[in-house]
Amino acid sequence: MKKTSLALACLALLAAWQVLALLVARPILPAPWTVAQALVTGLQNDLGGHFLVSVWRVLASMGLAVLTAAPAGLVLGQSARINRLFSPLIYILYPIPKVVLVPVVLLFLGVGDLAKISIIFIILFFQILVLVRDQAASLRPELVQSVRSLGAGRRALFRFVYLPATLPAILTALRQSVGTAVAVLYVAESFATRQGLGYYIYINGSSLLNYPAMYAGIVMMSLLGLGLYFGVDWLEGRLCPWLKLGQNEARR
Amino acid sequence: MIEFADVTFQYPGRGLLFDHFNWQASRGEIWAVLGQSGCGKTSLLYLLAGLMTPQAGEVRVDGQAVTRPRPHTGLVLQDLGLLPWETVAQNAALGQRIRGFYGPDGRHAPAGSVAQADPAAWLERLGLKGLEKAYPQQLSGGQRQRVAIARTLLLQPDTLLMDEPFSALDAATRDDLLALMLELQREQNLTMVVVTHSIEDAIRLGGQVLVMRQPPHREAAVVRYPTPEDAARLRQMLGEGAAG
Repeated sequence: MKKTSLALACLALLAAWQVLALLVARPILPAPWTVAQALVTGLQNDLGGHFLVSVWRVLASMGLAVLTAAPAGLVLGQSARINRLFSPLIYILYPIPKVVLVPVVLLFLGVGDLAKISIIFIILFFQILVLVRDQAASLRPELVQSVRSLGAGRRALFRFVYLPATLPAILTALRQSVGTAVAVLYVAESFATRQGLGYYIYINGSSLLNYPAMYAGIVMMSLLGLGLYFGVDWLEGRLCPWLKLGQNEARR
Repeated sequence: MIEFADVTFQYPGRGLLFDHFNWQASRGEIWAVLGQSGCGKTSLLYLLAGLMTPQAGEVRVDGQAVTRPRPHTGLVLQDLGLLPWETVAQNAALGQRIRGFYGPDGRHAPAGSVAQADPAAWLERLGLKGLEKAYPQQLSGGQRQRVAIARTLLLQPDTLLMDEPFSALDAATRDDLLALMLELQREQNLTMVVVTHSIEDAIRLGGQVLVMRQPPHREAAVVRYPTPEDAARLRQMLGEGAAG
């Protein structure tokens, strides 16, 4: 995506927000400039701290999910027998909206970071597991055989074929899940905590009735989601340059 | 020497492909394995490469039973063997990197230290200089085949197995690649087994032809050094409607 197109889209959104704020003309929808001021004030106080707590929670969940789900997906995708054993379980668990587990996780793991990280982890885990498994299983047998003929055993196949082949699936799963992860982060942080953007938005919106500060929190949460999305895109460009090549050729 | 000694093989749940099949090829010979699709010629190549093992009998190379991929046997598959996420240089050096990964264990790589071939020199020899940083999807079919060949030859094989190496290529590229293969075969004294469905290609290889009709295969039907005049005979051996 071109940087100028993104900048134009941002400007259009800000303009629409400004117009809407003028039309509504109520404190519940402050103008972008008012929110920008609240954002600066917030960053000078505790907003930055809340932001960093949220970043830590979501990054820890993502890291944990990749480290556990990717190897599990690789094993399932590589072994039809193990996949047959586990696929009914995954089939049942995968479509369950994991956000409904928030109260259960809070009950079991308490109100600390672990519970919040675990909730996002569960969501990301299944996405990555399923995509990596399907990607590993869909590798052409000829490709695997040709690498085996060069002397590769199971370990070398993991290193030279399965791992790099499933890297795009991991990144796709992350990209698809980033929005949900941030949404669930908000839910998890909006009760039983005093830290994080979710708390900041909730407390300013419902208790302090400081709407500009609430919107400043929403802006930061949006930036967190966008940053993660662009981060995954950047990683994909660095780690999977051949994918860009395919997209460019498809566009021609 | 390659030897199929009383080989019996079938895929699970399917009919017999080889039934006490015997066939021999000597060191440095060129063989075309000719047959229509589904006749089992690629399976013969996989058995020879050690990617599959027979239910009975033995496939041997130089007297040793082949039960797993052998470090000195190279396999080039039909346009499908290159890793799409690696560049030409990385793909060409893949076999060497796998050997480096295991070390000289005698199973995945030859035991003891072996002088490594120079990837850059082979890429240049095969007309791939300047394409080292390109990805397989940026190459033509002929160039991809050359990378696959470079990757195999870098491992200094004594036996080269190729599955339909010319099928996806236009006539000029095919002639070019064929000439190169024959030159390399002479130079390295390779035992070369090429699977093809094309009678024309089987003859142009200039070696012997193992004709594979419908399975199960029992006797090896061999035509020694056919000339273009033998095309009709080969067609007849393959049966009506054979691809030419």
